[in-house]
Amino acid sequence: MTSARSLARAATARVVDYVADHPGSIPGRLAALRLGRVRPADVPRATRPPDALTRVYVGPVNFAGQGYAWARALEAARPGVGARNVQTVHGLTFPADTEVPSAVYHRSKTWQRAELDAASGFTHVLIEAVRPLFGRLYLRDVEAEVTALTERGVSVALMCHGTDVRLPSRHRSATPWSPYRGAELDRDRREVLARRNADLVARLSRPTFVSTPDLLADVPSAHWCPVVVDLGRWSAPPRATTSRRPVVAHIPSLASVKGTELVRPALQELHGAGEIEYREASGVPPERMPELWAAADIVLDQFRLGSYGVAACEAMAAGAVVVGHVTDAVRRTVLDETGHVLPIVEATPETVGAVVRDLATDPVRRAELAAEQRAFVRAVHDGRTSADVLLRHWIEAPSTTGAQDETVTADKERSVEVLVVAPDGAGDASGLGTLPPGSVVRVVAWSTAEGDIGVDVPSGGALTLWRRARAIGRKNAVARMLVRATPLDDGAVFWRSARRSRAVLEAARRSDVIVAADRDGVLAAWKLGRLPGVGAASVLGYPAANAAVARRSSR
Amino acid sequence: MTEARPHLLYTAWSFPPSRAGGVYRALATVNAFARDGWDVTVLTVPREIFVSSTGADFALEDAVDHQVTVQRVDPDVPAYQNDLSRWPRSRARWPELWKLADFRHDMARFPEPNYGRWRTALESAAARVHAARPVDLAVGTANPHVDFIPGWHLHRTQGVPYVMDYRDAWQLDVFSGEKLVTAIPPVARWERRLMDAAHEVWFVNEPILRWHAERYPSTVDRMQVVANGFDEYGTPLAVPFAERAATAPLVFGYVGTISEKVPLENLIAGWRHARATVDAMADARLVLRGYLGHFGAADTAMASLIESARGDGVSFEGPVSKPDIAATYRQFDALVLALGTGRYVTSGKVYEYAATGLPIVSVHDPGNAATDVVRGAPAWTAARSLGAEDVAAALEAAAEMVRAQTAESRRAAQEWGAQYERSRQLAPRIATLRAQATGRLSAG
Repeated sequence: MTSARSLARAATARVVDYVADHPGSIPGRLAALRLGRVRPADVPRATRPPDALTRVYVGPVNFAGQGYAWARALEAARPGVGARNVQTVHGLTFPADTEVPSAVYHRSKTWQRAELDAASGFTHVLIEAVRPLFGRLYLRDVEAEVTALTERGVSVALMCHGTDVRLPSRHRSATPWSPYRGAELDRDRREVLARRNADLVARLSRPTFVSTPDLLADVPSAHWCPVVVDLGRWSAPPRATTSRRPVVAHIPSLASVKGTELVRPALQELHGAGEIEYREASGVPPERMPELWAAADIVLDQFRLGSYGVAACEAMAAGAVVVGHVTDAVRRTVLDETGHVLPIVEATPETVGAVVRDLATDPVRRAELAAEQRAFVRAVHDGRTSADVLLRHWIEAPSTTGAQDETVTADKERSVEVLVVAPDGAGDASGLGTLPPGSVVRVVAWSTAEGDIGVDVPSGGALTLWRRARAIGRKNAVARMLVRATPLDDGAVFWRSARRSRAVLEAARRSDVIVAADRDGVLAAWKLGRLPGVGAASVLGYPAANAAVARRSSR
Repeated sequence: MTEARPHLLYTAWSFPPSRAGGVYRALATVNAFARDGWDVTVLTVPREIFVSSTGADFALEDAVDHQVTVQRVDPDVPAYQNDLSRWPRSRARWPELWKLADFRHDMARFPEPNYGRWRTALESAAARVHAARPVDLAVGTANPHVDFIPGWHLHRTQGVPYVMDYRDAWQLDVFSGEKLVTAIPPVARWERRLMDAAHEVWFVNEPILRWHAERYPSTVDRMQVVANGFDEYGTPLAVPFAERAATAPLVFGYVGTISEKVPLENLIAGWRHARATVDAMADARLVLRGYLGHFGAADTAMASLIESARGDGVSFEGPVSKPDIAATYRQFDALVLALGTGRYVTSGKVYEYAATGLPIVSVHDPGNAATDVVRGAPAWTAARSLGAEDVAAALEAAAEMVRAQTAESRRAAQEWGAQYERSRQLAPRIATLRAQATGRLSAG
């Protein structure tokens, strides 16, 4: 009976894995339907690039609010950087610049295309947890998304968060309490996914970051970008140093990974003996966490992974003494990378009872440790170090590893081609600002006006008719409006002639920006911008052209 | 005891980083209130509108007092949507008809094309601001005139007093002196409604005030002139005197937006005449600094005109950011005040010019309101008409003033000009409003 159940569970797991790995298959498409119907009202506005020379897009997971925090840290670090983060909403949510309902993320082609266009307006994109940014637009293929963004001139980097790259087979030897030492059903699946992602990270050869120091063992080429906590939000009064029973809190995000069952007996024993007040909770909404940490004297973080993350930093910021199991390798990494000793009090499942008992009886020691830990968070996790890592190893890196990065550096000064549509000629197009070196401006105008590409003026009867219409239009405003409503409108005539010019069409395809310099150039610019093979931004007026040029040239 | 800080809600479509002419008055006003100890909240439009439509001057953002809170309220106005990929075909093909049809979204809310639709969002924003921290005074600066709405709305719903600050006029064409074609009956009704309930109504000069006083006699006692005045950004505008070599070519400067109202053609014709007939002007240069037109797309005719005069020593050297304005004035020997015709036109640059102490030559209709400002300037001359000979004669007189000016007379001119410092124009009004607001706060 047991074996039959196991077989059934294994078969189900294989089906689930197949669907996950083949999103374009019929079962994959059917599975996507379970995410629900997308109503137009649910589709949020695409993320708008900020007005900044360097525009950084972070998405799509925002685990523990980190995408948002990194975005703010970058903006605080450099005046010329604007950053936005995107969060796919399911389950717990944290502050985010753009929130996308899960169903929209997976199923709305409208949103996916608009978001791709929006992300293309950024200069840098940071992909979190090797997750696709645009749902099923590229059938959840992150590599295809990276290619698409790179082709659009965007510099892409990766941020690994945890299970996305943590190899169970490697982690088993990192610590005796590794959660991967057991025989969990999905352990093999995690191995496959982590290996696949690690291979992808290696193949992409993009600047890569990890959010916790232990992950450097899985992605040796990466840089540790510390998690960020808002010190102001977590600040709490210092704990009393009286001899009351200290409150010991343990609030795991995932009990099986944090080792809750390994430490609970020892804590319950101390609680029963009246030495501490042990409080355990789970599924706590993020907004309630500050008050829970503020009420705790000691916080038990995690005992299986041998590392530390956002929760430990928040608890330290709140002035609680954080106890957990952090491997020597991780402690060494922290010291090497930051110059600071990690002050989390070491305890394994075997020693946690004794460690907590010692702390419980020594409030003065607790106060010293709390001050030390808070100072550490301020030094390493207030955002400055994280922004510095991202800037140094990616955004402002003169040249890092691989040929791709040379392209990125060159792209920052990329020349542009601008097509000015000005039927009556645009002089020297002086409204355009200073363009990057090597840029080209071409003016499309009637062949009788000043321009680089001449459009043939109608001849014969068509010319006579058009001239008469123009004469009528000059009489008064009403006549002008009437003429403009007919096919003899100057803009319409210009477009009909321009579309027959191979030179105009080729110039449009080569251009980065098409600008209508005046009213009569609008229809042609609008039409040219929609031709197959034209990827240019199509705008009206020089200020808009300058903004579009800045976006394109700084990618 | 700490005195309670009154809360000002200020509404201005044109606010930094806008580079529109009206932005300096808005900037100076909010900064003056903030310096006077008010908590200031500004309602304005998103920055993208200026970046991609009318142009932006980012240096101005740094000039906003750091205590001022800016809330950007999206007006969702298609006129400022310049990304053609977002236009429907009907708009690309028939832009005027599409615009006419689209005006219904404005007129149903407030009789102001393009801007009327902002009313709803402004009312909500004003209510939110007031709910978060009660507003003691609301000021709206026009145009657009929908900027008056938050004050009027808070007055109607919460009894908050409001000030209407006119930079121009709603129904009067300040250039022609005629009624504007857009002054349709709903505009008259709204203006009366707003004036009736206003705590104060500000105008930039006496002629515009008088025009309104005749039409709204019941509001006369609340009407005030708050002239524009000049602002200084770090470096003083007063140009230090330096001895110049008698043979050095004279440099005349023009600083300001070169709109279609500026008599550029007359100026250039007069300039050519002066160069051809006056020895001292033979090698003189005329440097034009500013934006060519209010929008970037339709100023090719002016650009061509300037280009054609290059051989006559005329050059266009582009816009200059306000923080760099003082340094720019120091490159000139004399200033050309070229303004559109109209007895209601003052323009902000006349005050800046006065502050420099440099000789000023007026090239505009003598009946222009700016004449009232510069008439008493120690180093000022004016063209009797816009004819080429009269303009040339005025330029010649200015050249003579440059030659004759001494360190002492320069200083005298600067002392005279200092009366037009912007904060001096605002100070009496802010003092009065503060006393009233503080009185209400104490009473409350």
